[in-house]
Amino acid sequence: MIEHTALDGMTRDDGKTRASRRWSQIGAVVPVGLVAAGLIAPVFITSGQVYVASGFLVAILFAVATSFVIGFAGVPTFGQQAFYGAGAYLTASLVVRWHLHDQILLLGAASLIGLVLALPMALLMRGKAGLTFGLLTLAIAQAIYLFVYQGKYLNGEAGLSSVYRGEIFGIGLGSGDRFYYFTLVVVIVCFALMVAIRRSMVGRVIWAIRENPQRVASLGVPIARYRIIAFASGAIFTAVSGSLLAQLVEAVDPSLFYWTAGANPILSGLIGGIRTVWGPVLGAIILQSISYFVGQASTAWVFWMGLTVVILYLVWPDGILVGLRSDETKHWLVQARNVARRARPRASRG
Amino acid sequence: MTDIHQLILSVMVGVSTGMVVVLISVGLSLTFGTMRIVNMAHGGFFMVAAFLMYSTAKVFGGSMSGFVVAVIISIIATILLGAVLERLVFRRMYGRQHMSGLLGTFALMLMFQGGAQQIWGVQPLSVNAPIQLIRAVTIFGATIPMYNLLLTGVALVALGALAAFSYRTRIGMETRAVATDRAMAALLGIRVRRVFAITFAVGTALAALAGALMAPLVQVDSSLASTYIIVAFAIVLVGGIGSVLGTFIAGLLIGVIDSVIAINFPLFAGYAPFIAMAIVIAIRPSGLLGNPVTAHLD
Repeated sequence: MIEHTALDGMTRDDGKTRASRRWSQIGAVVPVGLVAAGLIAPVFITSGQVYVASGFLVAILFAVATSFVIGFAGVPTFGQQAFYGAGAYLTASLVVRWHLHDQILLLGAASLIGLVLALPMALLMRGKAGLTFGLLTLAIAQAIYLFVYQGKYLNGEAGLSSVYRGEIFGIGLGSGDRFYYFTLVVVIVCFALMVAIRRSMVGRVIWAIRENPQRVASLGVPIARYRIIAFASGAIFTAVSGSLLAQLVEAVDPSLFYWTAGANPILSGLIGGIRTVWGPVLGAIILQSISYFVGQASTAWVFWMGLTVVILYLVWPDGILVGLRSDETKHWLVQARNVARRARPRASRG
Repeated sequence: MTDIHQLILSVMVGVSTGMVVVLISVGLSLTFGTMRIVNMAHGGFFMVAAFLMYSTAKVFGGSMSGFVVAVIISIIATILLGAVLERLVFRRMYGRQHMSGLLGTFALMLMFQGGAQQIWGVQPLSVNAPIQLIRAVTIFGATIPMYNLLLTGVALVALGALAAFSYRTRIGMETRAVATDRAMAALLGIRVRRVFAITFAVGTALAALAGALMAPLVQVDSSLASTYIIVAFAIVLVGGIGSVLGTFIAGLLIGVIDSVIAINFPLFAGYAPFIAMAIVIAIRPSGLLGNPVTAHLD
């Protein structure tokens, strides 16, 4: 017989409180709800909003991929925009100059260029992570930006346009709704792949390396190799998101390579919780929402985005999803509940 | 102008813009070296000072004295803004690790940019230097605007003042102590918070000086906050984190090299800081004059 103690909600012996179990249930439902909402959304919203929603999806993928490298693998990288822009520009070039339209080809090529760009960067540092590596990626990405912006090969400041959306298995994706569903599927697949990596043995090792590199190295594990795997994976998914963007907007320009473009996914990850699975998703949705909704009201929406991030940072410096589960928040919630209980006259006490 | 004169011109222009970047970079280096905060908003102070120059120069007119007044007002206003921000936002970042400071300061930079757009609009603005300073002067056979020479001179004076402050005053010594070993400095009775506040103010002042003086030479718009900071980062890294002299040398060198390249091979303009950064990171991560121990890079 399990004794009911005075402790709040301990009705089973799995060590969790009733409250924490409830939160876990909510936490399991939310992703399913999100996907479902994503699937049926186009029915209820205008085509302009479908376009915006597709943009949200691209931003989410970019944020998740970047956070995978920075948060999960613990490899700071400030040059993700290089892969993003490369994926976008390669796709654009293939469509505009070589008239290739098959999505498998386009996404595959984008993945490849992500890999091709990532490997030299990672090998240059011989797999050492840290602020220096992050800054190296930044330097290389800026150099690529200058090359695209000032060079003549990729049409400089004007970029490429008329990047028509590709087709998959013969189905054209020109329509907004179709491209939205395609984007949704790609993002979900990439997201699932990253979750799968996290839960695999490789992911375990990468996680361990993040937590204590010296210890893992002393066990004989080649930590450089695992970091390179993580970095390359992130680069591949980032490049895919760039490819999707190029097709969504049907144009590319050098600003994709600018360092501020790579800052958005990092910000998204940081405000949501950079090591969590869903944090970057939440962060990306928040930032994109501000950019879209506030952007419609005023041209200086950047100010409000910055302010929101600053406030979120001051309240939950480790991210929203981490902060919500933290002891401080739980303490605050208990305090709030007590105040509410004391305020109510008699009914629900005891 | 003959080729050699063009070369001399590009060197001198490089020196003057290099000095501006050095001013920004030194501020960044001070903040990072002392407080261990990667202050992405530093460029924001540069931008704010430039915008303030636009507004104050309109009020005080194009005369020499008016210009000087405008510069001084812009700098002081920016420092005050920095002091407020330091108190409100930066104080909470001092204990934390690199990444979250990056987040908060980047968001601050966005606020700077958005705020500037809200107040001054999105169109680029221009500031006019007083007539007396636009006169062209011929040195070593190359013709260069007097303004660039003035810029170089003022920047050198400011850096000299900084050196004097750092090495000949008690607070300067305390700052250097805190940058070397914060815990020990605190144990010795140094008021670390005060050092932080002063360091921040000095860094902001340098960025503001750079912004105010650079205003007549550039298009004043919100992109100033993000364009210069990235070059400043490169310079700080190349020069060596924690070494102001290293930042100075790196800034000057890269400024000159980039200027020479930009004038003669325009296709390759702007690469120099980043190529230098990549080389330094790969070969000697602590920078030219950086100390690997106090650099705290990994």
